[in-house]
Order: sequence, then structure tokens, then C-alpha cells
Amino acid sequence: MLIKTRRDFLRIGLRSASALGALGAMGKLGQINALAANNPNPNFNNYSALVCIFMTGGNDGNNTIVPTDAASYNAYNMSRLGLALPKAGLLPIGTSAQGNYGLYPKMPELLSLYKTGKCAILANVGMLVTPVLDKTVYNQWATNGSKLPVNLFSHSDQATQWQNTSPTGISPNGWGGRLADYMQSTTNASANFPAVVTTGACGQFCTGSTTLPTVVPSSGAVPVTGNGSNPARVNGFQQLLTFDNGLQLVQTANGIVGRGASYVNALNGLLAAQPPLATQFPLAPDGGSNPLADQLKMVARIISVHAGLGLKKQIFFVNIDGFDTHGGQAAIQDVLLQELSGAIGAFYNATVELGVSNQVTTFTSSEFGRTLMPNSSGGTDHAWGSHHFIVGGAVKGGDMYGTYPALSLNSSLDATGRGSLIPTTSVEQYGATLAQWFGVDPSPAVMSQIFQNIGNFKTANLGFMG
Amino acid sequence: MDRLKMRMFSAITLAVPMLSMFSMLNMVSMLHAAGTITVTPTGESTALGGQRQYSAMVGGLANSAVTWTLIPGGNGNFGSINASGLYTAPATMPPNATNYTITATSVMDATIKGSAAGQLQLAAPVLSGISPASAASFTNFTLTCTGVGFQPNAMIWVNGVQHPTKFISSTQASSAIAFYKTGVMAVSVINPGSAFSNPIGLNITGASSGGSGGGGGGSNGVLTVAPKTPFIVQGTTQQFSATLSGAAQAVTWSATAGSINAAGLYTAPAQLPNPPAATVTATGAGQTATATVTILTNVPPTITSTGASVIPTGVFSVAVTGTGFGAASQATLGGSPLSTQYVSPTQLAVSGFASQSGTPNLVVSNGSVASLPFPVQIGVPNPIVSASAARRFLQQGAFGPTPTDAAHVQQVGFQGWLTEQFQMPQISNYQLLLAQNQSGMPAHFLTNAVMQPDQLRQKVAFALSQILVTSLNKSIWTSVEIPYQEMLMADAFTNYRKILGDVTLSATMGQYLDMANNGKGNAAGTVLPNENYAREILQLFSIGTWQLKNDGAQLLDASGNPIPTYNQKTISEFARVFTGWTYLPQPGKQLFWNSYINPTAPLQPYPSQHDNGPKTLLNGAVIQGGLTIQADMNAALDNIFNHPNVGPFLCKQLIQHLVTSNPSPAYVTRVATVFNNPANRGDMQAVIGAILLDPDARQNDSGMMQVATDGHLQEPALFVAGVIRAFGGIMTDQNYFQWDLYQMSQDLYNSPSVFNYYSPGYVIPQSAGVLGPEFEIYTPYTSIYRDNLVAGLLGSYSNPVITNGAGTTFDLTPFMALANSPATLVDALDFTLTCGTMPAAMKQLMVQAVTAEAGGNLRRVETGAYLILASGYYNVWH
Repeated sequence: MLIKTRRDFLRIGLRSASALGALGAMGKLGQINALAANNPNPNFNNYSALVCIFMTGGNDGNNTIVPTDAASYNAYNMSRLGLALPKAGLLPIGTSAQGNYGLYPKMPELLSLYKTGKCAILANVGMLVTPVLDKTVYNQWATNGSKLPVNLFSHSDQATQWQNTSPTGISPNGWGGRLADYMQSTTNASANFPAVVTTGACGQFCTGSTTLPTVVPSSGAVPVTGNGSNPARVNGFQQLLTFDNGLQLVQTANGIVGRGASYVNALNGLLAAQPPLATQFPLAPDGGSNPLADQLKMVARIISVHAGLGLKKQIFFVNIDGFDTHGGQAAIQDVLLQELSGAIGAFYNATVELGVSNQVTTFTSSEFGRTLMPNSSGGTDHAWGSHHFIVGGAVKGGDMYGTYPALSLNSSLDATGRGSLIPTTSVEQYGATLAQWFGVDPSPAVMSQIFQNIGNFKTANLGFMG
Repeated sequence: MDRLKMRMFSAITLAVPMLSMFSMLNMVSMLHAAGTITVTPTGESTALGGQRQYSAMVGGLANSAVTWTLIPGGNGNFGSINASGLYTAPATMPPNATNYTITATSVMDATIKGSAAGQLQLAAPVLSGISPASAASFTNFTLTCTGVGFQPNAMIWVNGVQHPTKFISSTQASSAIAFYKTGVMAVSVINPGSAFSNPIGLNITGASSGGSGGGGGGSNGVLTVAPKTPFIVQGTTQQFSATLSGAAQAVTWSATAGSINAAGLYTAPAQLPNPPAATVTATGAGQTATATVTILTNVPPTITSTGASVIPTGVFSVAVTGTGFGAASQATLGGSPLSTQYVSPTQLAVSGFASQSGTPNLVVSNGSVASLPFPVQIGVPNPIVSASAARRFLQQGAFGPTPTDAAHVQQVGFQGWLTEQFQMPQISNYQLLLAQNQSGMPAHFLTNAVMQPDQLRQKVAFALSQILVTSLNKSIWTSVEIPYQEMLMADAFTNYRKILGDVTLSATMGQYLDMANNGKGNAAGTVLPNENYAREILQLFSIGTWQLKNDGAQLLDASGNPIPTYNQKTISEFARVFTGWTYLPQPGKQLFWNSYINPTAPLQPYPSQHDNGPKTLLNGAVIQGGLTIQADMNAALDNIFNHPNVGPFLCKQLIQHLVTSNPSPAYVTRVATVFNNPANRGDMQAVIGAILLDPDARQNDSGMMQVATDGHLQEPALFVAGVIRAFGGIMTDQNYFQWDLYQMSQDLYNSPSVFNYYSPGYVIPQSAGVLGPEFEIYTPYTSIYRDNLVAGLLGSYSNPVITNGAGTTFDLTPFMALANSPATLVDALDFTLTCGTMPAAMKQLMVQAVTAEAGGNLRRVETGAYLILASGYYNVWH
């Protein structure tokens, strides 16, 4: 074909690029599936589900899990000034090797799960390319080289990196999607529904090279109702979805509608046949709706029909928003942490009710932690490492993993002097530990397909899943 | 009774077609007071090789004898007229003209003449039969016409509506067809430029009749008459025959009007009976059989006026006033049939669809006779831009086209429209909402977007509101959010430096990103200024995180790595700049620190809380210590505003909101260069003009010139407003769409965070890097929700005036008339919704779907509109 104009050139160029992209993805699929076919992981063929709770905005983990041994608490108190929580109200928990802590006072559900061994804590986890020893190393790398994640402290960049584990933020897919790719033509080969479900907009966590998520909001998926039984509309609608005028965005739009329309009837039919959950999901502290609880309730219902959907492996992404507490943090976080704890507690109970509590693991994530030092508005600013919860019957709970950092300003792990803590555990280690439980072959050759930098870290299994 | 006057008028009008009726009538009486000759018929076409009888009506003269002459309209053989007024047309078309004039001259006074215009016409095809002769309604079938003289582009018309026709041979043509009402339909065939063939009746029976009754040649032993339902012009003849078991059967004939001889030759009455029908009965073999004759008039109708001096392009409905109209009258425009509703002998209601501006002729025909052509103005005279281009331009510069706005753009052109919009004062506002202290900004946003003329201001302000985000999820009260959005509207056509300044000192933004009451921290350095605004003004409002080239791509260092624009230290420094501002106190109160928000005024300086030490800004610029709080602010904003990233960073996003998600580097460069103009850096009017008039933006104005990554998905608010505007609908604050916008993840002015509902950098999954910002909120859920929303709007099936509560109304009535011709209906919907540039393949799918819709005209219109609005092709404006 003769290239006559710049536009022709662009068009051909883009089509070629797109073709290459598709080939690349296919190549990767083949590779991943070949690896999956020989998977020695005993959990490979069992049903399991991962539920990612993303705390959007950057949760202040240091006011969620507070050190209560005297010296540590004192350092905490000195750094946080007016934001420090009184020790008296904290919900005390112990650890096997890291001393004593207190959970935020209004998280009785998480306290109970921790005490019964169903909840573990992973301390000071965050986005890393490779371990960063201390602030000296950080400062060297910050001005020179590419061993740090880019655009630290930026919401959008760090949220993306948590989800795609690319330190540049540039990746065509995320680790939830890559797990789904891995299982797609083996364990999930008979699926008639996407392995990844998000209850709202999801970042790249949900996108694979060969798999895509679907969205089921807490109110439920909707079928294409507009057609009624009118054959002219039904046929026309279907035919127009296949119409291709050469515009990628048009095809994308058609594809999204088409995918949604094809899944929804299977799901809704199965859900309608299920008895309602007996487990009560909580409201928010003010008596209004608890959006996280509502989302997790829908997740539990979808889990309950996994067999009908042909899925042995499921991944869910839910969201609780509002953690960007630059001002008035105490009051905002008070509500959000209550909602979080209540929702997780109810969801765990629902998995018990459904008989799948050992096969469902829920974990929290957030783009970053917050500065230890308060700002002049009674809030905190963007930081780096933070602490997270892992909940489920298969969790080796009642203990803390990773290393809880010293909370004094200008400590060796304070990257900025404001208490931005350099993580001592990587998001990739966090994910790899979950992935191994999920059924992924733990060999480095396979794990590195899903977590590209995992080889830079001491271990790919942090132990919280036994 | 006034037929004579009417004919005189018609005869004269030909010579002076553009004069008014009154002046023409005066002329008649002045010139020919002594005697008159009126020649009829006038304006008629005569087929090649055919004949036409002319007659002269002589008034005011003792001797009525006339001589006949033929005046050719050009060179060549125009045929001849004999002494009794019988005109014989030539066998072939003369070379350079087709019109002729027939003149009758008084034998008694040669100065007294009358004349009639005529036109040669290709021979009409002759229709000898149709199959089937009868069909059930609501059923698809193939109608085959048999006859002679069919040409390859011959069209089958049924009851005045053209149907897609398949040419089979010179003696056969067919059309896939379905009818949604019962009765006898007149089928005829027309060649390009010819007259209509003789009509043959097609009997459409009730849907449940199962095809018995009348179809085919009749059962054994039953007497049948053919033709069964003919149309016959008054005074003309038609041969009938009777058969029994397939053999000719001798019968006796009778007719209720007109006469029929023993051989079955029927002659329609010379005067039109009332009703214009007759029953022909054959009696024989102990049975009777009947045929139903529809008698057509031979009196030409006249057109005197139309209800609108200018008929807009697109779908239209207009009243036609004239004389001689009947139930069988059919109007055509530029040769294409219009839906024609008989109102009275002097009025027809016609509707149709015209995609092009121009002055085509309106003609009303009554069977074989037609009115004089009546030129009508369609669309804007001498348009500067095409209808398609105007519509597409309004998808970019406005919330989509309305018929009225599109016509206006055609008239004034792109630049003219921009100038008008730039000069138009701000009209859209939220003052009523504010006065009533009510929520409901999303509903009122839609009212403004659909109804208010300051479209470009609104559209740009909406884009700015999604770049410089504040949100009700923190500001809570509309009284806090309204001043901010009105400020963006007021500032939309100013300068980006002013916008940055106004945004920074806005009380709403001050609250949203904590710039208000941001103190300088404590002396010990253990409490420091809040970094929130400092970070986001840099990351989101001005320069972004990476150094950019003027084309919007990242600038790379020598090792090929992108270069950050700032680091954490820069954020801390800017955070110190943005200290010491608080809200204006309520009247009579002193300014005090940590005061409660007063959204009606900009933030006020509170110098004692300002950190006035030296600060290092972008690109190493230092502002010295000890400056005033305002000087610090101005220096910092100037530092940001003059960073080379601002042009490409902002311009690319504005292009994404207005035109395309994936602008070419050259497009971004061109617009950014305008932004960077040293004489007026940041001039919003120049930037907006550069975006909308850029060759990349305009290239696809006629369709088929897109690149693969062109266009952008309509976000939910744009989609809702665009649908109502496209149909010329009405929106008020009582609309119900607020909930729908929420469901579609665009709860207006309630963005989940400062990162907006969606990100400008959102990459389509598995797309090799194609940007599609709005797709971030277009999920399997929200997309189906959108389709279902449209289905709800277009599912009334009972009333073409569509409502959605009291606040939303649009009218599909003009489309109803087109529904018998699916291709025309789809053309009209394409023109209305997709700028008239829908690809042929999609049109074909649409025509199939509309044709298959068996629920009547309204359902056809609703289904057609639904399918387009649900399509990716519509949802991605490109």
C-alpha cells in the first residue's frame, strides 16, 4: 500500500503497533500458560479467591496500628504531636517478635480476627524497585539512577505502581490481571465469566495481557434491558457491536458493551437462584451506607456462585475512598477505619457462612502511607511505606510480618525528614506471598513473570499465608 | 368553483414565477380586460412518443375558435400540435432543452392569446402486473413488478413512497418491503427523469389474515376479476377480464360509477365522483366477482405557499397551502417523495428530510397530474460550511449540535461563530439555585448545556472544571461549589495566568486542597505547611511530573530517561509559599485565622501566618525572603505559569476534552505554540480557536478522513446533553438525569478526588498505548446503563413526543413520516445524530434493523435512534 499522507502513515503505523502489541501479549500468554501447565503448587487446582481492598487516598497506617511499648510509643507521640492517639484507648495486640501494638480504638472486628488467628499485619510495605537500605541510599538514588519508583508521593503514580508493580508506572497490565492470565487456560479453562471482578472503576490491577475484568457494582450488574424481546432491536444491537469503521475507540466502546452484555445474564441467573446471605453487613457509623460493606457483600454473593461461573480462581477489587487526610485527619479517619473494620468483619463471616473462609483471602492496600509529622492543618501529607491487614481462614494470623519501623523523625528510614518511611518490604513480596497461596508456582521463573522485580528481594514468601 | 381562476393563475405563473399572487392577478385583469384565452393543462409533462390534448377556454369573445402553435424551448424536434390541440411529442429527446410552450391564438383577435408550458419527459415505464397482488401487513415480502421499459435505476413507489429497488431486467424489478397498515396501496414504477408508470393496486390485509383472500390467480371454481384494485384517472379507460379456474369466462359487466362495455372496457367518469371510487362487478357462471377502482383526478393542484419561508435541513414538517388537493395527493421535493398528509382541499401537511441546503422544487401530484414546481428554500442560503461540518464542529465547541445552532454555524462559519461566542457575555449561571440554597447542580448543568447559547464558554469551563478540580464531596454545599464553577465560566475566555491566580485564591479551592488556613508551621520545625495545594497545582493544574516537549511528549535526558519537573523539596518550598491565606470574614467581623469558609470572596492575606523566608521554585528560581505575602504568591504563580510545560500540558488536555483523546504531536505543538506566544502567553481565546480550527480537528468534517485513534468517548454529561440537543429538545431543572450521571460514574461536580472522574492519561487496556480518558468510567456496567437509559427514553412506543419527567422533552414526529422508507429514516437519523457521515456499511445494518422493526412507524423511529445512540460509532465523537 502506498503511503500518501501523514494520516495514512499514522494509520498504518498505529495498526502495525497494535498488531505487534497483540503478538507480544500472545507470546506472553503462551509463556505463562506453559509455565502454569507444570505447576507443582498443591493449591493450584483448588478454589481460591483474593480480595483486594484499596484504601484510596493513602491511609495513615501509623495511626491504624500504633506501637505501645514505652520507647516506641514515646517516639510515635513525639513525631505526631497533636495527631498522636492516646495509648489508653488502643485495642491491644501482641506479636511473636516485635513487641506490643494497639489497633485504632474503633476496630473491634479486626481485633477479634487478629486474636483468633484470622488476621495478620504486614508492616511498612510499599513500592520499591530494590531494597533501599536507608535515607542515605535514598538520597543518592533520588538524584541519580533508576533504583527508586518514579514520582514517589504522587497519588496517581503510586496507586498505579501498587497495582502494576512497575516502578516506572508504565505497564500494560497489573498483577491481579496477570494472575488471571496465568490461570486463564488451566484452572479457569471452563470459565464463562471473567476471573477478575471490580465493583467500580479499577486501575491497572485488574487488567491482564489476555484477560480483562468486568464490573459488578454493589447494586448488581444490569442486563441490556432496552431491547426487550424485540428482535429488530436485539439483532440490530448485536450487529452494530461488530461494526468496525477503523476507529480504535469505537471498537473499544463496542467491546466493552459486548463483554458486559455477554456476562451479565449468566451471573444474574445464578445469583437469583441463591438464598440471601444470612450475614448482616454493617452500616456506616452515622447510620448511612457503608459502601465498602456493600461492595464486599456483592463479592461474597459472586463467590457463592463461582462454581456455576466455571471459576476456580477469582480476584476481586473493592475500594474505600477518602484517606487523603491533609486536614482534619482525626475525624475523617475515625469514620473510615470503623467502616473498614466492620466491612472486613462481616465479609469474613460471610465466607464462613458460605463455607469458603479458608479459600478466600482479603488484603488491604493503599497508594502510600502518610508523613509522621502533622501539617499546619491538622492533617498529614503524602509519604511512602505503610502497614496492612491480611484476613482469612488460610492466613497465619495473630502476628505481625515485615518489620515495624521506628517512628521518630529523621530516623534512618525517614526519606524526607517529615517521617516518610522507606518501606522495608516490597509490594511485590506482598503480592508474591498471596500469589503463592493462590496457586502460582513459587519458582522464580514463574513468579518473575508476574512480579518483575521479585528477584531483587530476599524472599518471595513473607510467611503470613503459612 | 374557482377552478377557472385557479387555472388562469397557474398558466400565468409560469412566466413570472417569483411574483406574488396578488400582483399576478392584477396583471391578468389589466392586460386582457377585453377577452381571455386560458390553455390547459399547463406545467404538464408529455412522455416521448406520447400525446397530450390541450384545450383553450375562451372568455369575453364571440368566436371561440383558436389556432394552435408549438413554441420549442430549444433546438431540435419538439414534435407537433394539430388543429384541434392534440400535441404529439417527438420520439427522442431534443439536444439541449426539454420545455415547450403551447399557444392558442384567437381567430377573431390575434392579439388575444393564451399559452401553457409543457415539458418533455422520458417515456414512463408501463406496469403490467405486480406479484403478489395481496400481502399481509407486518410481514416482510418481495414485491415484484412486471412491465416494459424499466431502466437499471428504476424505482418502485408505493403510495408515494420510494422503496429500495432491485433491477432485474427491463421487464422486471423487485423490492423487499413490509407494510404496517392495511388497505390498497398504489404501486408504480418510475425511471430516472420519467413519469410514473400506470399504478396497480396492492392489497395489504390485516396481519392475521394469513394470506387468503385475493392473492394469486384465484382458486379453482371461483370467478375472479383482474385487475382487482386498479387506479384509473378520470375519463380514461381500463380493460377488465374475468376468469374461472384459470380460463376466460364470459360475464356481464356493471360499474357503480363510469361505464363498462360488454367486452369489459371500463371508462372512468369524466367528472370526479365523491367518493372517488367505483366497483366493477362481473356476473357469470352463477357467481359474481368485483374489482375496486380508485379514480384519480386529472385536475392539477396548485401550490401557493408553504408554512415556513425557510425549511431547515434535517427532518422538517411544514404546511403546504394551495388548491385542488385530495386524499391521493403526493408531494415531492426535488423529485423525492415527502410524507403527505391530506388536511383539506387547500392544505397538506408534508414532512420529510433534506440533507442539503438549496432551492429544490416542491411539487404536489394528484395521480397523473402535478402542480407547477414551487421552489422552496431549504437550509441556509449560501452556507459557509456544510451541514455535516457545522454539526461536527458543534460536537467539539458545544454540547453537540441543535438543528438551529447547526444552521447558524452554516451561516456564519467557524470563525464567525467563535467570534460571536467569545463576545457573548456569560449567560449560564447557577444563581437561582444559589438563591434557593438548593442542591441540584448536575440537573442545572444539563439545563444550561442544552438550552443556553453561551455554549463554547460552558464547554471550555466544563473542561477546566475537570482539570482544575474541586468537588462537592468535600465542599458539601452548592453555595461553596457554585462560585467556583461560575468563576471558571467567567474566566474561560481570559488568560491561563488569570485562571491560575483566581483558582489559587478561590475560597472553594482553598478549602478543597487546604490552601486556606495553611499556616507556616511551628518554630521548632516539627509542624510544617500543608503540601496538598502545592503538590496538585504543579502535578495537575500546570506542569505535571515530567518535563515535556512542546508536542506534549516527555523530554528525555542523554540516557533516554524522562526528566522530573520537581522533587519533594520543590513541593515543600511551594507549600511555604501557599501559607497565610484565610477566608473573608462575614460582614462586620474581623479577619481571623482558621476562619470558616466564606465562598463569596477570594482568600484574604493573613501575613502573620505566612512563611516569608526565601524559597527555591521551579527551575532553580529563588524568591528572596521578606517579600509581602502577595508578592510571594505572584512570583510563585508567575514561576509556574512561565514553565515551558504549561502550554503542552494544558493544551493537550483541552484538545482531549474538546476534540480527540490522541492528538498528534504536531497538533499539540501548533496549539502549544499559540499558548506560548510571547506577546500574549496563555491567551485562552487564541488557544481555543487554535484547537477548534486546527487542520487535525477539521479534517474529518465530511467523514471518511479519520485516523485510527481519532475521536473521544462522550463522557456521560456530554452524552445526555448531546442527545437532547440533537433532537432540538428542551431541558429544565426538573430533569431526572442527576441520578443517571451518578450511575454512569460522573456525578457532576462531585468528583471522587482532585484526579477527576477519569485521568487524561488513561490507556485503553490491551491497546498498545491508545489514550481514552473517558473510557476509565466506561465499564461493562456504565456502558450498559447508558444504553438502557437511551432505551428507556426511546421505548415509549406510544407517543412520538418523548418525555422523561417534566424536565426533558423532545419530539420525534418529523421522523415518523419517514418510517415507511427505512433508508430515508436512517439518512435522517444519521444527519441528526452522526453528522450525516455514517459509513455505508453501518447504514446498511441500520436499514436492515429498521426494516425488520414490525411495530409501526414510531417503533421504527425509536429503534433506529436507539441503535445509533447505543452504538460505539455515536458514543465516540470523531
